[in-house]
Amino acid sequence: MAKISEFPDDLLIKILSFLPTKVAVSTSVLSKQWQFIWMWLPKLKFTNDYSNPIMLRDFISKYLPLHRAPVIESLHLKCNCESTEPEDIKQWVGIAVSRCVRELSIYRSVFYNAVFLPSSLYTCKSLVTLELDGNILVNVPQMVLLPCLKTCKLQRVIYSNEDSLRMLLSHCPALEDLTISGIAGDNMGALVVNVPSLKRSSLYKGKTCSSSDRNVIVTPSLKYFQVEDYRENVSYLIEHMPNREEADICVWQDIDKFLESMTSVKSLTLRVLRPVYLPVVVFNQLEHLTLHISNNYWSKLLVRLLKVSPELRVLNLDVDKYGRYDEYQTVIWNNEQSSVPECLLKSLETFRFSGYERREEERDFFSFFFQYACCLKYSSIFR
Amino acid sequence: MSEKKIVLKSSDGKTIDVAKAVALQSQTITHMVEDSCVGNEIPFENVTGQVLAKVIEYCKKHVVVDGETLTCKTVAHVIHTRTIDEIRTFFNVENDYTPRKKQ
Repeated sequence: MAKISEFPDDLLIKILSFLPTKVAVSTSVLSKQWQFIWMWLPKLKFTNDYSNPIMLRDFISKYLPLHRAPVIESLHLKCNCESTEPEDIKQWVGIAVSRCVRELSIYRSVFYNAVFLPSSLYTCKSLVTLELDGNILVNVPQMVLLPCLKTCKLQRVIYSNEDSLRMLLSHCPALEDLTISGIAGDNMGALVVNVPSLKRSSLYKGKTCSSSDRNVIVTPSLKYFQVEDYRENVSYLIEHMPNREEADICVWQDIDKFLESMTSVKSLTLRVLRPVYLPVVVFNQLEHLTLHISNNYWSKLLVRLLKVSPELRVLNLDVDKYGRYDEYQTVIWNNEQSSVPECLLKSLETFRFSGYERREEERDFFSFFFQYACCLKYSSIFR
Repeated sequence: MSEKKIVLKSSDGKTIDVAKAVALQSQTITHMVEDSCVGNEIPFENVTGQVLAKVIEYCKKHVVVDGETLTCKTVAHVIHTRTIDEIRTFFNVENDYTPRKKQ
């Protein structure tokens, strides 16, 4: 191997690209040849150094403006300490934006002052991935356009007004992957996701998030949809999604609207929080069904679901051990051929049951189920 | 770098397209390419499609990383696992900072 001191700068930069930023920076003391090599790195990840938070912040403030890489491909900032002021972060993000940043990821602990972002971020032509987590104020200006943004994650952030999120999303023409996680007092307002390009979406709203007016979901290209909404007083308006392949639903309200919008789904995970009536739908393409339940008469819901899923091949059932099952009274299943779900007779091959406690409803269901599930190849029952 | 592809044909008539660099991981394939290259299609009269697919799967997992990347990753590993003084010793790097500049 040639002597390392004979390596061209390009090669030294490539070597440092395989190291964590902190280690790469430390090589600057090796010799004069190494002094500025790290400043050509296109990907920077600064996480808090608990032993020396002030030094880190001073270091970034001093050197980031002097960074030599013409393009900063990615900037990750995990700043959860007091000495990193919101002004610092705003400045660093501004520098990254001016150097055509593609990936920006910021985490800010809720214990420290909210971070606000430069308005230049919202018109960044190069941004492909944006991840904001924590005490960050999303203050979307009037002029907003993110033409290359494909992935956007907004977790527990705060919005400057109730229209901010809608404004942001409606100016991301290439957006494919969206994750939104609400938090109490975030000023998000109604959840309006109207994004024709969106392929994957994960939405989370805890019980303490503010209830709001109609939440609207218009995402015609969506393939994967996950929603967890524990709020009790909300309503949704959901447009039909013909391309939906996979869905994971856990909601307190409007479960029928969600189910109506996804009749073409292939894989469905349903977490039933309370007794629900199925809307009149047929899941013609459903092959995988996973049901998480915690209340009485789950077997009725399940058999209804089986009846409208003629192509079902895999059924996973998870009964919550701490659920309430005390009100169950024996259900007599109709044994007429026309009442037996078609998938039991023709397509169901795999059955997994978790949470078996030998309760009456479980026994009643099994005796019906195993009598007719004649295509089963694999079956497992766990406590 | 060219993205040359080779077509491998099994005894039961199945064809598999493979990048040349991947296929040449196999000594057998290398010899056959050298001996009997009819256009870009290599016939395997004693090997079924199923077996051939497995061979190619193995080859894909064992493609040797280019020499430069391997060198860089090795040097990076040394840097990551040693102190500054150890790195200087290991790579024979002379500390040419004047004493005042040393941090």
